Amino acid sequence: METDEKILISLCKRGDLSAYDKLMQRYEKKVYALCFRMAGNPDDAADLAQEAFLKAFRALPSFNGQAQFSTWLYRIVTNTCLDEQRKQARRPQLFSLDKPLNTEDGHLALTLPAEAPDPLATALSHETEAEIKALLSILPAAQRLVLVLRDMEGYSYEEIARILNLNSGTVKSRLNRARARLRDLYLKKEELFPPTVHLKGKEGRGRS
Amino acid sequence: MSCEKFTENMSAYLDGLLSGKELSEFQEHLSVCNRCSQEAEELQSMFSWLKQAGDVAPPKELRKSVLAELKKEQSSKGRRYLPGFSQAVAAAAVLIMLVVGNLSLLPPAPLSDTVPMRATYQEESGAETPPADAIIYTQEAPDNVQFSEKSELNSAAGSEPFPRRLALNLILIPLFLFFSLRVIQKRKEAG
Repeated sequence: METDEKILISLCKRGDLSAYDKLMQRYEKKVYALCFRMAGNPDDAADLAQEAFLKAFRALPSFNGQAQFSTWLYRIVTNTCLDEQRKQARRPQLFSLDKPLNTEDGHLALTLPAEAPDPLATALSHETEAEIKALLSILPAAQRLVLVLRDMEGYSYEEIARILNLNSGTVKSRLNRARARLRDLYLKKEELFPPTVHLKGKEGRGRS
Repeated sequence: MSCEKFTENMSAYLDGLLSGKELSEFQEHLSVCNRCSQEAEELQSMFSWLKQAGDVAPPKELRKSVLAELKKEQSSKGRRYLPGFSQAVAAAAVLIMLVVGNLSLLPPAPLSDTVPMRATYQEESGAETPPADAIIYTQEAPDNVQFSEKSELNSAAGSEPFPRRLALNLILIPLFLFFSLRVIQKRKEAG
């Protein structure tokens, strides 16, 4: 596995795109998931993931194998996400893509179709998904990143420290702050998302 | 007892990173402090809420669009700027300068020199029809004058352009070698 990856990397350094395809295949799920949690919507997530993979390929010649490739790649991904957040903060926002939009036909949440085939489970998970996204988007980007890495993507403190180039004490305190902040929001989510506002909109509310 | 220290360690506790004395102190505190134990419960509940977030699958065209973009870059940049390409162009330019410079500074190069040469050719080979300008020249100049003039011109051609050629070669040949070596070096670097 390790040597296999080394071979792929050295092929990529020479510009072999089919080797890069294989390398991306290994990491695209994790890379995309991280981008999705940071961006909050599939379109921006796809853009971020693409941007990160392009940057990684261009920067590969400078990858010397001292760090693990995955750590090196995730650092590029997190930097790409944080850069985008900074750019968006500077741009005047007309409406947030992170939050569900109210339209005449009901509530429009920007979510991916879930893989679950059960429509009720799908609707429920959509709703939770939308809430998670909305609350996460309130956190400052640096806090959100640490929380997403730990509590949603399951990286260890050491891995997060290496990816973000922080010491583990900073990771611990930042995670602690992020969790406390999200907990406050989570406890207030009934206020933020009144249960009457349902994904199915007018019809669903009328019958029940 | 102050909760602050325990609040700071809350994440470490929930992630199972506390051990020994730190852990037993924390557990002891939770059993007596309502605020902290409630906080821990709320955080656990938040974790399970977060776990409800579904798996996200990357779009099928993600890798394809990355590869398409990289292919574009490689064909526009990569081919025009092959490793060592600019050095190869420089080496070729120096080579052309070397050839052209040496040819134009060859000893029989100056035009005035060719005339007496042809004139002697005419004298030696006799009755052959000589070039028109050679006839005019031999008619105007007596043989001895022509000879001295020719030798003078020859010596001029030898003494003056030759150091120029030497200088030209001394500058351009190392330059050519330098650029050629750089090309080889660059190609090696690129693997």
